[in-house]
Amino acid sequence: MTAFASIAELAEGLRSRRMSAVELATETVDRLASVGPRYNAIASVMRSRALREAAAADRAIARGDARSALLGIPYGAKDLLAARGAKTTWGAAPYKDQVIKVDATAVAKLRRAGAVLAAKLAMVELAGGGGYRYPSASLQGPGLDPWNTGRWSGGSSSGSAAAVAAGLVPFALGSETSGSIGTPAAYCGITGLRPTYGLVSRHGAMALSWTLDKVGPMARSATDCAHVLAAISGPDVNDPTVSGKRFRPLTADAAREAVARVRVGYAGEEIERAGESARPSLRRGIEELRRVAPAFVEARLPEDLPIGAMVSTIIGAEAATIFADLIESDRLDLMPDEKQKAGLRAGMRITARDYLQAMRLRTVLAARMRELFRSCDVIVSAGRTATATPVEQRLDAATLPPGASAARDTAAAGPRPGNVGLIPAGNLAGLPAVFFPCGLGTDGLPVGLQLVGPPLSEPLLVALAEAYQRETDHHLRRPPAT
Amino acid sequence: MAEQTDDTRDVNDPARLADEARAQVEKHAAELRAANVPIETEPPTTYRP
Repeated sequence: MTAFASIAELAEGLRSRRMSAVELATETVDRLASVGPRYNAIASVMRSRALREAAAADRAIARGDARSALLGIPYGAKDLLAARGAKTTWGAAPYKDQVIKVDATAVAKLRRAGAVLAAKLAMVELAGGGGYRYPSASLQGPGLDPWNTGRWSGGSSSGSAAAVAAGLVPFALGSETSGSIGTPAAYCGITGLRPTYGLVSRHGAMALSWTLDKVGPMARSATDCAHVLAAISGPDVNDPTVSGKRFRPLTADAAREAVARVRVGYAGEEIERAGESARPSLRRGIEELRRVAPAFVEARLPEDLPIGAMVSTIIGAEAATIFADLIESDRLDLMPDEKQKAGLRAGMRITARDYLQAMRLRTVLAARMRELFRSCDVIVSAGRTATATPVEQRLDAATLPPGASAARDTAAAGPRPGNVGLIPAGNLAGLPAVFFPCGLGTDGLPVGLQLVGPPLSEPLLVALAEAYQRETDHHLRRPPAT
Repeated sequence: MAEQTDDTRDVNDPARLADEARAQVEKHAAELRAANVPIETEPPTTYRP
């Protein structure tokens, strides 16, 4: 059985000829087709392309090609990324027949590394632009959590997280504007890596917010995320925002030294005020991290900046510009979520003054974060402060049952306890983050932590998450029905 | 969290949602304008001629 195998285990199986890449791809697309719909995780199964790429990988392996750890490894891509051989629907009915006849740069880089694209994976429509009220805001229906199909898999990279959590693929590509890798990773109990803005090309990815969008890996361990990030990072002439930097993991010795001396910034109020079901595992997770990296220091996000207003205004204005033709047409009515449509329309009313004020405040926030990272090397917080939301529940409900959470990644107005605004603040400042599981809630659903570091600190974040995952087994747990 | 209002319209009524979305834009604008930003502060830019 290849389900739940790591990238290294699969690669070893291919190199040793215990299985061929074609056999692995066949098993994977069969599993995606038969099990994926259980979680509304699939946009398109790409059998033809997968078998073609797998056959090429088998030929390369036979030649002794050792170009990449990903040679012959199957994966899925969020349906926000263009890929030859399937429609690119952006999860939204107005684009349900859209065909983009190019590979997004991240997909093309994986192809060159020898990875095998097996499926396009479901997502919240338009990556949630406008702000949706119900998990059903997706062309494939609400993303369902493999740990409990009565709960939401999180958004907007819903299918990517569910497919990885259910063992359908060893890794997937997701994307984050503000929380769209972190939230589904936390809800589905997997590891997600949000890269520094500009480390991974956005070419061929649907734009929701040019200045916030990031493409990143979702997998079952930090090590597997690192394999993927190494392949997809780096220069791209098609995306002027790409820094040209490449991700390379630390050597084992360098990682050990870095983890031994890393200063972990922590506030803690957000853990103490987390949902009842998540709180015990979050506390244990923090203590486990403290055993791995003992140098904890107090660190808090700036409290005087309107982080929620900043991220909402920037996403709202950029999305309204990008989707202006849709918003001003009757096709918008094809989308089911009334709140999302209202939010997209309202974005047209954001003034240049307010957008630019939000962007100027972003400059202030980035400076404050640089200041914060003088006293610590990373910041730890809850991935989400509650376990996955019931699938029928309003995501903006005023009264939430214990353990449920609102889906919005924007910080609520008013005082923010501890570092609860770390997702929007990290995204506004373009900072990398790794999300990883730290146990199960009292309701049996996954709970996770996030680590955020300065720009281009992915090697340290990966080293720290790997060290945590060597000492714990939370990332190895599987949903009960799988 | 949703704000408590006296609006008696259905919570998914499009006209109500439109009013709420516009109010949210205005609320965020007020928060942004209330923030103190030094006059020399420029927005980040990727424009490179």
